[in-house]
Amino acid sequence: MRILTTNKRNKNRDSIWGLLFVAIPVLSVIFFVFLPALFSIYISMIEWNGYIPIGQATFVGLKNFAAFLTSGGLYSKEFLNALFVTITLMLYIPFNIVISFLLAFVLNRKATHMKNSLRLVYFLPFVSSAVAITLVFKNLFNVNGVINSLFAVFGFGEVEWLRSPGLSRIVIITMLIWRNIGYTMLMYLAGLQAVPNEIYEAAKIDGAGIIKQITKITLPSLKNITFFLIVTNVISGFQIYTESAILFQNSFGKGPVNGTESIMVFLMYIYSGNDLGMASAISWAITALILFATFLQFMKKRKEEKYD
Amino acid sequence: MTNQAKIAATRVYGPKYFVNILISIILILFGYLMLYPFLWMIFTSFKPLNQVYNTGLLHHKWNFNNYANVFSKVNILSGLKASVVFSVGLTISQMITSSMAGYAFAKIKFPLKNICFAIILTSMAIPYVTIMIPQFMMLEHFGLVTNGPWGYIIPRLAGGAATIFFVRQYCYSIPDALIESAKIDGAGQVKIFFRIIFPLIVPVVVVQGLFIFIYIWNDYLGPSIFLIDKNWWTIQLFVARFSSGQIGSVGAANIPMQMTVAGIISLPLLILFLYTQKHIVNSLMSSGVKE
Repeated sequence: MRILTTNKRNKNRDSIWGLLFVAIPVLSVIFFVFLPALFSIYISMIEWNGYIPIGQATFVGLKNFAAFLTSGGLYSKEFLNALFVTITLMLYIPFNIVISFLLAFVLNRKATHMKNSLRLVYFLPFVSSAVAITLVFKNLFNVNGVINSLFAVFGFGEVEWLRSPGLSRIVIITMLIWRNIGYTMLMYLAGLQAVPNEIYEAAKIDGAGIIKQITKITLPSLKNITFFLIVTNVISGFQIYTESAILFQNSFGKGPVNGTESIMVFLMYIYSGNDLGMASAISWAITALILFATFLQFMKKRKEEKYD
Repeated sequence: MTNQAKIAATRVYGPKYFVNILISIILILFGYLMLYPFLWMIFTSFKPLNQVYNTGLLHHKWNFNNYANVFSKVNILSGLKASVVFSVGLTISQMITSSMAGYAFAKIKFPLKNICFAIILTSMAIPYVTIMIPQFMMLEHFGLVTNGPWGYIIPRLAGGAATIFFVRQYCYSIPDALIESAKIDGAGQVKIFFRIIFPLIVPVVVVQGLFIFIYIWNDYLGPSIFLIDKNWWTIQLFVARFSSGQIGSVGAANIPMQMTVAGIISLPLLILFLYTQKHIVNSLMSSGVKE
């Protein structure tokens, strides 16, 4: 009988302590993620500069969304352009995936020398500060910089990397590839090491060449990792900001010419002008894009798995 | 040459041998490419103003004054102080809160457990861009942004979903009998957590802590929104604003000085990483297999 009551008391105590143990993270999510998200839905439907009390702001419904989603709206041209820029910046993803896979594949070979040091060197950019490194790249791609002097060796003239929308995007893409390769490579390396060596041995005995081994064993076994990498890269790709902001040397990353700003930079630009309703509407548009892109990828994966 | 030696020679210097050498050369060149931005940053910080471009990393006059002068040109110590306070403080706080939560989700039975876990997981699906502006509005409404660092600190005190998830997975591997026997000895959950569980999960918590530290130290978007008070600007804000000529008395043209500060903000992390790289790499690789 006594044991039973202590058990019961223990259970009650466990309930309280369990709730207390998770309280801070759960409350933090409710107050600093859910509540702001809901609040931002409301802000996106008012015209508000942040100076007057929010109660006095005029309710405008979907007018903010119309300003950049309908053709001929106040910001529609800029929004479409920013979306286009963001998508071109995401070109870093295929490069990142392919280069990282090749590196991982080579580093996974038994015969490759200095694996650990090379792996370390490739991973180093991942821990670098985006601010510091963007400053470095800005100088590497300067008119007189290293990249141009390398180009001059091959007989090219001076290229003004940072003064043209297209070329400045190449600078950002290079930076993103450089930064992400280490992490992506590690993920692939982990995936490669998870495939038991016996499978390759068996394939060799059956007469499969190196190409066949890659396409029939290696690539299929990396499918899930690749999917995970693409999904997370697309999510962060929509939110590229710091590189652009530092590269163009003002806090909001507006380039010297129109056509260099990513969708996040566009958002921060509107936000800096204190058009909070509009900024919230744009932030929801970005969120919708992220969720939609993620959803599409999951649907595609499901379809593929059905046919497998 | 005897026959045997000939066979040995072809074995060592066969086509495979040259393929390996070629691969090594390519990999090393690529490694140099990956290191080059860091090298350029460090060596340029020792260049005189007029030799920034079109000189190699080594062939220039050496100027060692930047590191001594930078502290008088821009108040970098204040930025370093803020960055250290945030990175260390928030890392510790996130490590503790998320390991407690991770343990509770794995090993304690309590009401609303599934709902609480769902709440944590859902937060991963909401991108930061959605919440940053209204979060700022809310915190400003309570007077937490204009003065002091609290607007930046408070939303970041609790550990994030990913960390909690990792700790939870790790806690599943702890045998229940260990906890039960501690309970029979009369230990409460707090005692069990700090005396028994925490020492066991320290490896995973420390690695997660390193990731948190790296993230907070390098964060730019968060501080640029939430840290209005100049006394609490992080080192990243200082460097960004210093190099664009917004603050300090050097301006945007002094590239060697900029690289000096860029080096100063990169160095702590590079050292920390080189010191702990084995654990970071192992943890990332084991998470890669699970994905």
